[in-house]
Amino acid sequence: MKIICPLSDVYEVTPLIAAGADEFYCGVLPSYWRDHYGEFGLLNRREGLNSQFTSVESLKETVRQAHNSRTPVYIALNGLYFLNHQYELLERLLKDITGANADGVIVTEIGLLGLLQDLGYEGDIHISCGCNVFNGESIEFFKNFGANRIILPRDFTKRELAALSGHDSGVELEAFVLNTKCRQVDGLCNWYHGFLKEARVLEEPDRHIVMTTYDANCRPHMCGRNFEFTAFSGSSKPQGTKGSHIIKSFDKPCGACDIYDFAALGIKHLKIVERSAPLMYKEKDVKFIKACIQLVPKLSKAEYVAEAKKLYAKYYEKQCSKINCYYPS
Amino acid sequence: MEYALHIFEPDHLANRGPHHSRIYFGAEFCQYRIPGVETLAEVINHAGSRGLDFTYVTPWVTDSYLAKLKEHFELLKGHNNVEVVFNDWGVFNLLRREYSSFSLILGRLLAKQKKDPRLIPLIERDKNVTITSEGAETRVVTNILNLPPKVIEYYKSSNINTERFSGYLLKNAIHRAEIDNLLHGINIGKNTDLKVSLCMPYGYITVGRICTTKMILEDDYRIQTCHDESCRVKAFSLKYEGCNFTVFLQGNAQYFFNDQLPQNIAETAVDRIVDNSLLFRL
Repeated sequence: MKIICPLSDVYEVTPLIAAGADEFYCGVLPSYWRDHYGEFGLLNRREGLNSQFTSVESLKETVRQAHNSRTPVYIALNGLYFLNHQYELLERLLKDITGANADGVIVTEIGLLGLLQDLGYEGDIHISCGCNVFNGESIEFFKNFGANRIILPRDFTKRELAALSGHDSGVELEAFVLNTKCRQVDGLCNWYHGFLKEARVLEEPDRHIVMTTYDANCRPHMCGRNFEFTAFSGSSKPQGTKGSHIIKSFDKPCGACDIYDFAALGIKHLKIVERSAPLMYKEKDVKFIKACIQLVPKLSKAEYVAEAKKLYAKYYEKQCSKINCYYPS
Repeated sequence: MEYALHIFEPDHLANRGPHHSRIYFGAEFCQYRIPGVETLAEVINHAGSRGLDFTYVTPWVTDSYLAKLKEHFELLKGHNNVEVVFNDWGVFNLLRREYSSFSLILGRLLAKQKKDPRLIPLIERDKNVTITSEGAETRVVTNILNLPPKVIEYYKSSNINTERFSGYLLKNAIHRAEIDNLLHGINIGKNTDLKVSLCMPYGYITVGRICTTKMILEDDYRIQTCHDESCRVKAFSLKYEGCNFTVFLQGNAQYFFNDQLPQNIAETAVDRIVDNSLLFRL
């Protein structure tokens, strides 16, 4: 089994490979894209520059270092859609990515998949979780675009995963195993994730400014906010229900217990997310998942699950909780 | 302009107005709300007997519910001029291969748009944005964002605008797509062979497998499967902390409300309005 690890800077390559990363994925937002579209997350659904490479040169050096350890690097081009004028820049970017020797791209948009076909792109094509591949027919659909891997949505039950992996499509399957789970379906959610951070203006403490951010602590995401609910007034059956609710965020969501089943189901690629996490967190995550993988051939399933929970407690200094399981029964 | 009425239960048929010449029926966002075959037969027979056109709406599905949809497609095969809205590329793959007589429509889960109502002040370049917080006074804050023109265009547009995407649709005999009536305006060009339906007044913002309705009703945060269909009798309006707009919750999907036709509609490819006002008629 392989660990797919997020990457955002060249200095992370060596320590993450040492920790056990088998593949990297990352984003790149070069200046020729930023000149037109700023730092908005149109290209790869990450706002700002702190979680991605800002130049093709830095990407090239990163790929070189990764390849020295025979570790492939995949580039996220998983914007949900692109407009006509963006395709010219995408073509240029694809040439640069190829020139940087990156091993493949992660794609959501059908139009971009068509462009890859037209260009005769020879790298690997991974279908992003934003494509919501929930059934075997979807796997076939994307296979026809030349996809050699499907990154599965976060939203499966164990039973559904087993059913899907039963399709003998010849396409690799990649499953999320750690971090960043949401209640909404990734590729079907249209909340804007780029803002808002309110910040006080230092010289005028009563005034605030609104700025883009990808800082989850600022609660820019609607899925982490409190809301007040009222039974819909147009209902012909008034419920009289009113109250408030806090949508609790997942706390270190984890699918490590399922690695045992993944192995049996042929899911060989395990994705750790959070491109913008500090290196020390990424290292810890990779080491944890690596330790879990190493247990699989040695133990029964029950023994494995018990040991995986112990490892979680050891690495994250807290007990895992059923509420944070990636894949419910 | 063609007007269609989207009904969610058979008894919604009684709400059809004289201007509605087409009936939409089916689950758009949740596989657990896919109607029974008998119910589908009842609705399509009703529509046919009154000379109404019929469009069947399908959601994204896991494998077991794809099998259920197949039963429906077999039923629909016996009817003429059936349209099917697909919201899952796997459903499309099945339809393309085995049900080529249907007219296929790209659903609004696959016609991508950015729909967050918080984009309005940014796109309208309001320098002052009112922010309200629970338990705090309303404050006026300054918006320092200056969205580049191409970014504004992006947020008003959709993948159906692009030659590459619409070209793929047309090449695969998909001649219509559905979009939402964005609060910050739409920019859907007319120079395309792809016809466009505008769904309103409820535009969907987000949809989850973990059902927000059940979260409210049962305080359970992990439900991904559903068998009680409590959303048939309960729906909610939501006020998010820090936001001065209302979101509407029906089942696992959240919506904004916009009943104003776009001022530039004549300049767009929109030639059908899908009236989904019965969404919250429980």
